[in-house]
This record gives sequence, structure tokens and C-alpha cells, in this order.
Amino acid sequence: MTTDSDVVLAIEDLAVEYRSRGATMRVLPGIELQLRRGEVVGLVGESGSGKSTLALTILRLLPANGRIVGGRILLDNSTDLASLSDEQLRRLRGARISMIFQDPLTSLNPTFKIGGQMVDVQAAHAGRRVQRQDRKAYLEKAVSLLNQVGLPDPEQIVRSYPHQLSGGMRQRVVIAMALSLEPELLIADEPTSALDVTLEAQILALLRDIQASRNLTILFVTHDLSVVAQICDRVVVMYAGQIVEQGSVVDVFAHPQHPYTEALLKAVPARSHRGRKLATIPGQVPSLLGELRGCRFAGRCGYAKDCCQADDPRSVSSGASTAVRCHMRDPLSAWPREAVAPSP
Amino acid sequence: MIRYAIRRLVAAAIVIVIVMAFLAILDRLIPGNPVTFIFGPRANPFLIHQVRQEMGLNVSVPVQIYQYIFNALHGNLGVDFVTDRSVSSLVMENLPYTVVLAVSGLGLAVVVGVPLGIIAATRPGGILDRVIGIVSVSVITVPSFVVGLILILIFAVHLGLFPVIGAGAPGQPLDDLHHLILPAIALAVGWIGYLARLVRSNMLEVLTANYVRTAYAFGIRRRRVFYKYALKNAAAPVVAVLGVGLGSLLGGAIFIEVIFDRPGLGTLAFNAISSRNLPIVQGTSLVIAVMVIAANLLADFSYRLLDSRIQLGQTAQS
Amino acid sequence: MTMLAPGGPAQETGLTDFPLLAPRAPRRGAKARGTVLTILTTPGGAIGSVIVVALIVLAIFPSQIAPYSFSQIDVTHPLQGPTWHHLFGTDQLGRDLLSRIIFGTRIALEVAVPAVASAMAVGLVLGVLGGYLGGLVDNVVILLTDTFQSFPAIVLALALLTVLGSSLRNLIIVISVTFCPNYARTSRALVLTVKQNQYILAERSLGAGRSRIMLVHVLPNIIAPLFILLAMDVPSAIAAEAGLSFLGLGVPPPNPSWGSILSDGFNSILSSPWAVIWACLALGIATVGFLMFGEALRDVLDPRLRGVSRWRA
Repeated sequence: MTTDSDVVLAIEDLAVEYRSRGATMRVLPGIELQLRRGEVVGLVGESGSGKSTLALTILRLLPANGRIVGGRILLDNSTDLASLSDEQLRRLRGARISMIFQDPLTSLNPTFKIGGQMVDVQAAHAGRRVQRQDRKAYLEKAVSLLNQVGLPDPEQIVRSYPHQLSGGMRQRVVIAMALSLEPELLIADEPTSALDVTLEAQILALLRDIQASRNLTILFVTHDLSVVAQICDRVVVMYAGQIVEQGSVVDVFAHPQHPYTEALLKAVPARSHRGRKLATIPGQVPSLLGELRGCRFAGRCGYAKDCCQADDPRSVSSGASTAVRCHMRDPLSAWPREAVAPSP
Repeated sequence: MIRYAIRRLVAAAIVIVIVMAFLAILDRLIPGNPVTFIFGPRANPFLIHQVRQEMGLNVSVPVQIYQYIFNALHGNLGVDFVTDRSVSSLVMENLPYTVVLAVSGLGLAVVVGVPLGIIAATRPGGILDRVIGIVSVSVITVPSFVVGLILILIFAVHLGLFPVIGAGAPGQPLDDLHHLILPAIALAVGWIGYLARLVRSNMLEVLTANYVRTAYAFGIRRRRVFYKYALKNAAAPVVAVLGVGLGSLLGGAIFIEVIFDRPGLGTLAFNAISSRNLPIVQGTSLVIAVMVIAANLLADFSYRLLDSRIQLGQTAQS
Repeated sequence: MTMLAPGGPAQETGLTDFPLLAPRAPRRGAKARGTVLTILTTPGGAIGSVIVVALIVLAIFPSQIAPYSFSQIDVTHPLQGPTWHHLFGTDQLGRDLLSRIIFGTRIALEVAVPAVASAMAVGLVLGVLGGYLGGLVDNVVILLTDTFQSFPAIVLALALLTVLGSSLRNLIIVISVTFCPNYARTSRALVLTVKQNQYILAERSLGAGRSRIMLVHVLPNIIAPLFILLAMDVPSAIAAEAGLSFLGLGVPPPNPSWGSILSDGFNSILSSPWAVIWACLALGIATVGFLMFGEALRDVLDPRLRGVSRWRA
């Protein structure tokens, strides 16, 4: 199987809270997740599932009212990101772990040139006083990176302002910035959600190339299953702050174990469904204020029985998937077995 | 950009013309007979007719407007009723004092207010922020002449540190400065509060922007993000406000000049009002209005320059 | 944005403070009650409301509350400090300062509120007409507002008062004129944003006439920010009235405007500072109170300004 040295990032029992006007919301109750070197993991879920929170928490980029209240985030089995000082964490950001975000139009500072911003990133990690010749070197590296991400005429681009570039180009710039210090892990928070389909395909192709050439580990947060299908090796499905299923993309898509995953996959319109009503998942994500009991998906689940409202489901292996959080798949649960057996 | 500049200049010119027209016919707004307004109800008809001739009241409205504008453009703002001196020369004599006061007030406001706002933004919610916040709110609403009175009460009367009245002996810049301090502070206090709040809220808003998050995500030091990235973006609206500020300060200068008994357009206008000296009121209003329009134009252009990139950046095609 | 209160820039600049309002048919009763309750829960709002209510009470019932008449002269006891007979002391003519300040409240509100209200009314009409009808009407409105806004408010007020003479009615008119352009501009800008909303297009395609659209759909959606502006303008108007009275151009004596109390007090400042102190305090509390109330109102009606984190889960 996999050895420990293969694990780039190990998240253990991570709990995150948001505090707002006196009320506390436990957005992530306790996440267990491992990312292995060189794999592309898709983190899927609808809005409010906690996927973005999880992504932001790794680099501790949460807004001021968010806090880590438990657990560890181990980088390379040695450093716990959750307990680092601000300065130590800062040195990691962009250097060993990079993150890119959703909206390319607002990710770059409008009042500075592209070249300057890319140089700044490198200079911030220099560890010593930056000389003029250093900046020159950084600029050359920036140009080379822009080339690698497929941007034409990088010399011109470093002299341009963000508003002079299109959204797709800006996203490539951000990707180039993210790669400038050769990180081990790239966290991508819905980087293509704001782009049209053609641009999305291009960016995904770019990411695939980069991943292959550098053996980069990528955590790809998205709500779009088709993107996961195109680029990810493994998929992690989240719902209401919890991981409900994990597994290889091929296995999970072919044989989803959790009812939520199954419903998600059914909701993707396919040619074969022509003429039929679009499938949706009725109901809403439960509010995360206060204590929650039982399975969080129970209210919307077609297979729910009494035990689902009452008891918290364990996280078990089922079929080819791991971390399936469902009574139905748990042989030790109170879920009535004589009911119709769903797909294996 | 150039086209925008020309459009704004033309618009400003039109506004100035209308302002002049409005001032030109101001005397027609006087209820009753404008001449008896000046001379009392027992003026004899011959005198009335002569004065009406001088005042240009015997002509129609458009002609009156035209005459006023024509004269104004040639530097002739009319003649003072009482002393028969040319209004333009009176205005030119007093203008420098007012401008110095207004500019000092604005300068003081920027030099004190902007850093206060930045300090408040470094630790939002902290003690310093709250103190600055409370003080800012309090001073914004208090009219500057009230502040002036309080300052006089404390510093000039009780403590005797500063002179109460006058602008200082001519030819002695240090004495001028000494006389300028309290009035400038009085003018500036309200704007210090306002600028501090504006800078603080702009900074905080910019700090939640996506590109700031990107900067942090790439490991750029907090200090650098704060001062280099955020400040530049937060500065733009402040520049816009400054133009408006100059206009407001010019108005405030009137009160301050009267309280502190300083020479300037304010005192000139105030005395003119008491003696119903309409040409002076017209002349000073016109000059002040032109200065305000110019200041607003300047601020508008500077803001556009700073902001053009931000604007374009957010509306570009994807 | 010309403020009559010299150096008193009581408002934010710019229209970016106002959100794009949703096309909701306002259920005024429930919404108003909810708003009031929310305002009272914040410390600023509570204090502001208390002050505002107190001022209104003082303004409506001065004779019942004040111990003396405001014009009762007593030349045997001029310029006294606070005593049991005269809690605030007396002015240079022996008049009770406490009573004068109380009556001054009525003058302050009597001038400020109608001035700002009429400014809003006129400005609203101009702004809506200009914004919605566009074209020539709009250009005229813009020209008018630009012209009047290019005078610092003081200058405009002084010029107008010179020709019109000073009286309570003229004070109200003059102050109203100085605030009017801001309302015209703001409502015009709001109308322009609302105009682009889809539901307006929908109404038009259904054949709704222009006046109907303006009255029924545009107006209710732009009125909330204008009320906020109104609440925030009242302190400026109060300061304006005080300022003009201070210069001797306001209500004629013996009417006890806070400004004239200040002016008299200033003249006797070396003998007794109490008039200045009380008048300054009155002005300060009134302006701060209304400002706090206005801010609380704004925080309730303008969700954008509440500390919402921009980073979603």
C-alpha cells in the first residue's frame, strides 16, 4: 500500500469554528484526510459543505472570526501547521504549499504590475535583504514561469497591469505565481468556476501538465463533478462539514456508496436522460449552529430510516470507498437490513 | 481620459457661467425695492433713479446677466457701495489670508487624520481603534466654530499661550504662524475625525479584498501587504474627498476668520452683509465658488487617475 | 457635498455606501417596527434614540419644562455661575441660561427638521425626474445641482440671507436650499441603479406608464437610504442654524438660538464662560445624538456595512 513517506499532508481530527455575533458555528467537526505525493484529490461538495473552509484552514487563511479548535495538520509527517507561529507559517505559504483561488479578476492587485507582484512573492521568501541583482533574477524567473504556463509574450506581460489581461490569462498568471517557489502541494479553490467551459478545459489541461512534470500534489476543491472526472485521481465528498465518502474517482463514480454521492451523480445531466426531468436533491443543507444529532444527510436521504435521525453514523469502508459515513453501509448499525439492497 | 477631462472642464465652465448669472440677478431677489433696501424708505426719486442706473437695474434680466459676466471676465467685479473701491482689489487683498488658512487646515487634517486612520486599521477593535473611533465621531459633528471657541477659551484665555485675534504683524512670518495655529486647528479638527474614519474604513475594506488574500496566501509579510498593497488602494477615495474638503474648508474659514478676527474673504463678506454691501457679497461668492469648482475638478481628476486601473480591472472581459 | 456646518463633514462621500436594493414591496408596518427594535439593541442606537427623544420632548414642551421664560431679564444678576436658582447660571442680561438653552432646542429643531425634510422632498422630486426621464430634464437637474453645490454652503446661505433678510422662515428656506442638491444627486444616482433592474423592464413591457413606475416601483425602493441621509443631515442643519445665528444672521433676538447664546457668551467670555460651555454642550450632545441615531439606522438598513466576512465556507 502506501508508506508514510508518501503522505504529503495528513489532516487529523481537524475542527474549525466560526464565531459571529456571539453565536459559534462548528463548521468542521473533525476531519481526517491524507494526501499522497503526486496525487490529484478532488474535494467535492455543495455550498456550505465546508470544502472551502477546509482548504483555507490548511494555510490558516481563515477570516478573523474563524479558528482552529482541534486537530493537527501534518506536513510531510513532521510539521503541524495548526500549531506554527505566524512567521513560520508565512515562510511555508507559497514556498511549500501554494494556494490559488476562484476569481481571477480580483486575485491580483490592480495597482501594481504583474512583474512586480511575481517578484514580490519570490522576494518575500528570500530570507535576507533583497538586492537589485536578486530582483533581476526573480524577474527572469517570472518570465520563464509565464512561459511555462503557456502565456504568449511574457516579457510584455510582466510589464502589464492586471486589468490589461483577460480572466483566463490572469488565472494562468496566478498559477505561475503559485509555482514560482516549487511547492510540494497546490491547493486550488474552485479555480475554474468563474471561467467559461473552453477556458476551463485549458486551465485543467495546464494543471494536468504541471502536475505530471513536477509530480505535484494537488487538492482541487470544486462543486463540479465533471471537473473531478477530468483531472482527479481520488475524490473526497463532503456534506455539511463532514467527509461522507472517499475513494478513487473511477470507483466512486461507478459505484457510489453514500446516498449523497449517488444523488450527486444522478443530478449530473447526461445525454441518456434526454426528455426526463432533471434530478435534484430536495431539501437544504442543515444549519450548523448548535448541536447536530444523527446523520446530517438524513433529512434529504431516500434511504433514511429511524436510526439515521437518532445516531451519528460511523465512518467505515464500503465497497471500494473509504470513510463512508452512512448507517446503510455500516454492517454494525441499526439500519434495517431486510430492506431493498441498493447497488453494491 | 483626455476626452473625459475636456468634458469636465466644459461642464465646469458652464456651471461657472450659471453661477455668475445667479449672482448677477441676486439683487432682484430682494423683496421690495432694492434701492430703499440700501438707502431707506425716504430716498428721493432722483437718487433712486441714479442708483438704479448704477446698479444696472434699469435693464432687462438677460442684459444684466450679460453685463455682469462680461465685466467679471475682464476682472471687474463691481464697485463697493460704501467705500467706492473696486471689489476685485478688495478680494485680491483678502484672498491670500483665506487661502493660507484653508490650506493649512487641510494640510493639518491630512497630516494628522490619515495616520490616525492607518493606526486604527492596524488593530481593528483594539483599544487604540476604539479611542480613535470615539474621538473621531465626536469631532466630526461639532461645528468648527464651536471648536474654535473652545480652543480660544482654553488656550488663549486661560493659558495665554496663543494670541486670540488678528493675523499677526505683517512681515513677521513667525508671528503669522503663531496666529495661524489655533485657527488652523479649529478648522482641521472636524476633518481629522472624518479622514481618520474614512481611511480606516477604506483600509479595512481593502484588507478583505481577494488580492490581499492572495498576497497572504503567497507568504508576503503582513507589514508589506498592509503598507504597500492596501494603502495604495485605500488612498484613492481620500484624494477625492480632499477636493470636497477644500470647498468645505473655505466655507468654514469664514466662521473662523470672524471669531479670530483675522483678515480674509470671510471677514470681508461678513462685514459686507451687515452693511448690505451687495457687490462685495457677489464678488466674494463668485471667487469662492470658482475656487471650490477648481478644487473639485482637481480632486476628480486625481481620483480618476488613481482609480482608472481599479475600474478597468474589474470590468475587463474574462 | 457641501456642509453648512463649517468643517463639519458629517457624511460619507459617494454613493457607493448605498446598496442595490431588492425589488421588494415594502410591508411598511412590520419592517418599521423591526427596524426600531433593532436600533434599540445597539449601544449607539440606544443612546442616540434616547437623546433624540429627549430633544424632541424639550422642543415640544419647553414652556412646561423650563423654569423661567427665555426673555425674562434680571439686570441685577448678570453673568452668574450655576446656583440653585439658576442651574446653568445667567447671561449678560440676567436671563436664566437653562431656560434659554431649553427653548433653544425648539428653535434648533424647528429650523433643522423642516429644512432637511423640504430639502429631501424637493431633491427627491428633482432626482427622480432627472434620473428616470433622462435627456434634457436630467441635464437641467445636473446643472442645477452642480451650480448650487459649487458654493460652500455658508457662502450660499450668506448671499441668500443678505438679500432675503433673516427670519425663521428664510432660515429654513436657505438651509433647505443648501442641502437640496445632495438629495437630488443621491436620489438621481439611486434611480439610475434601480432603473437598470430587470423588474423595471418587466413592468414597462407590461405597459405600465412612466408615472406609475416612478411612484410605485422606483420610489419605495430608494426611500430608505434617503431617510438615512435625512437622519444624518439633521445634525448638520442644527449646526448650520447655530452657525448662522452665531454670526447674527439667524433668528433675531431675544430668541434663544444656541448660536446666539454662543455669540453673547463669546462676547462675555472673560467674565463668565458658562454660556459658551452650556451652548457648546447642547450643540455637541444634539449633534452626536442625532448622528448616533442616524448611524444605527444606517447599520440596520444597509446590510453591507455590517461586518460580513467575504470569505465563504
